[in-house]
Amino acid sequence: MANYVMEIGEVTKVKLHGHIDASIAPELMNELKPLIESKDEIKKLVFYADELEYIASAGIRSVVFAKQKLGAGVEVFLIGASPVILDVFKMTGIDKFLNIQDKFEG
Amino acid sequence: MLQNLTFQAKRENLPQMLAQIAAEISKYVKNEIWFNRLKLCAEEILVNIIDYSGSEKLYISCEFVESENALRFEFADEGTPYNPLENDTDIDIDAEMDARNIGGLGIFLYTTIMDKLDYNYKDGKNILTAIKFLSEGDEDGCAIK
Repeated sequence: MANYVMEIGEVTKVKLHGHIDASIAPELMNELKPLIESKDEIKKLVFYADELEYIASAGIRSVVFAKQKLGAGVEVFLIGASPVILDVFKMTGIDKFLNIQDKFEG
Repeated sequence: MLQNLTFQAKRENLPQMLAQIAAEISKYVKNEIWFNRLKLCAEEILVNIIDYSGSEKLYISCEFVESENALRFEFADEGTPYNPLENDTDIDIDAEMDARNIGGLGIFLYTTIMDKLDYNYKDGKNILTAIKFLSEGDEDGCAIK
């Protein structure tokens, strides 16, 4: 059963939650990989982060991987991230490639 | 103070290591962004040791140095002599997404966040020391306490 991917479709939804440290991040990557390889139908990829408490570079890499593989035609969203989580995305400069919103507005 | 906490150098032990380090940081760092940044640095350093040192064990120390008003972390392992600070630690955070290298983020983060980093190889151990000077609250983003 998927722990992170909630819905697959034109708008694909991924729920980031808890602590995504390097011991957990491979699980996220393993769920994202097949999803992204069958990317044809994905128009938007939405990462919900309202229940995400911590993310390390290993987790950030999964988001970078997704964005790189999906290409410019697919918009990637980060929704509901706390200031602490946003800080990590900003420090790595990844925030610039994401559509950051409090609530998903499409 | 954490003194030479010893762990098997395995990723599965990271949550335990981080819980102990976080408890120590939280005694001195009240600003939640800086609390998170320091925990993040500790993780990134530990992951490098776990993934690349070849050491079975690693050792963690963390203390508040009153004379310097600083938190001092020490990470040691018995792996191959290796100075992570000799790497090119810079990444271009303004680069286009396609040009972004998926590696190197961890070392970039801890070299950016920490004020002082020092590597030594002594008595068969790689020893990486990381220092963050603490400051009283202010608005410019470097508030710690």
